[in-house]
Amino acid sequence: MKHSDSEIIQEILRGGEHGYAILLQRYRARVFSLTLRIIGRREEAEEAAQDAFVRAFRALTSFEQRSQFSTWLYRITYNVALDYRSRLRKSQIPFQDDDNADIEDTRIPQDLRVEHEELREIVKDRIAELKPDHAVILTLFYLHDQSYEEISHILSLPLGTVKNRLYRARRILRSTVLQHYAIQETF
Amino acid sequence: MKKHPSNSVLFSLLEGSLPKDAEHRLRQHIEHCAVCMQSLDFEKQLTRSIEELPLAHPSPQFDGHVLSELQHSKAIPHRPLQAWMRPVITGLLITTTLLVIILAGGSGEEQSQSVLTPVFEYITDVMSPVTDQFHEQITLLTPSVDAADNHTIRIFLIASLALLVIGSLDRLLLPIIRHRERTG
Repeated sequence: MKHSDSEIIQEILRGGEHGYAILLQRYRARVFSLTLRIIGRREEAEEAAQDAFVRAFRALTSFEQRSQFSTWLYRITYNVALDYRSRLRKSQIPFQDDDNADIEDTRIPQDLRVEHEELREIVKDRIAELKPDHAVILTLFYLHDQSYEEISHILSLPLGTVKNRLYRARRILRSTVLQHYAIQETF
Repeated sequence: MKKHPSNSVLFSLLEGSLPKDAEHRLRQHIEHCAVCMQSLDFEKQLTRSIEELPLAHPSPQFDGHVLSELQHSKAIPHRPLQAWMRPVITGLLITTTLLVIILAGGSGEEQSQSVLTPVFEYITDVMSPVTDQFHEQITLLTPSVDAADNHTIRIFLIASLALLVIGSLDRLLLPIIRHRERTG
């Protein structure tokens, strides 16, 4: 039987250290995916993810369960990853600034045939090239199943800003994916 | 609906945030519009592609590093203080405070026989400039203050000091109790 996060946390607080391993197994990939989106470098992203877990585990007694454990953990992760990124800023992380990306309301070409597998590969490549703010919000919403309200809590942003940013991120992604197909057609 | 809806409207449709009547009208339009149908299909495929993105996995040593870091910093969270302990500790502290006040507040003769006599003599000596000054000010305000009142003032000041010390002990004692709980 799968125990809830809350049950595992209670077990840890009663001294059951096995709970740490369960939480790690449950969240390691999600936390690492988030730090990787923000930092962009595997080694540093892994270090930041470890740091986020250690900080969260140390602070478990102060977790008041007013939000989901996952939301609380992602908030810690986000803040830790931002710290790492700001330390690395001097050495310039290779991210494109997509703020000026062409995101006009492009119509889909009538004859466009999209294979799902192919589209998934393109999305995977394009999302990695997005600005961290955009990649993070897409990751939290679509991969980590966080609601607008939860994302607002994680990123410390107003709800309206979250909605706008998510929509903008999606438009940029859509636009770059369509650009890919347009370029392919010219060959 | 004469115009094709914008992508933001299609996006709202996908996430279900359109008002019912607007959604109904939009669906009717899409049903008969090949362009919008294709746009909506593409948006759906895009959503599915994002949702299906593989998660990145850290190295196999990841868990080990986290757990050893936790052990290293001895950061195993302590159990919260048992519910019954707080009132017991508070009760003990109040009793001790009262005891100190009683011991300090006896008559001169009683004080001379107390175990704490040297302590109180020392405190009285140290505090005498303050109590004298205090007494002087009180006398100016209320000329009827006599020696008995002076004694009361001393008791009051010593009791305040005792409360301060015991209050500080509360701060010191709780972490020690927690540490003992943690280390078993």
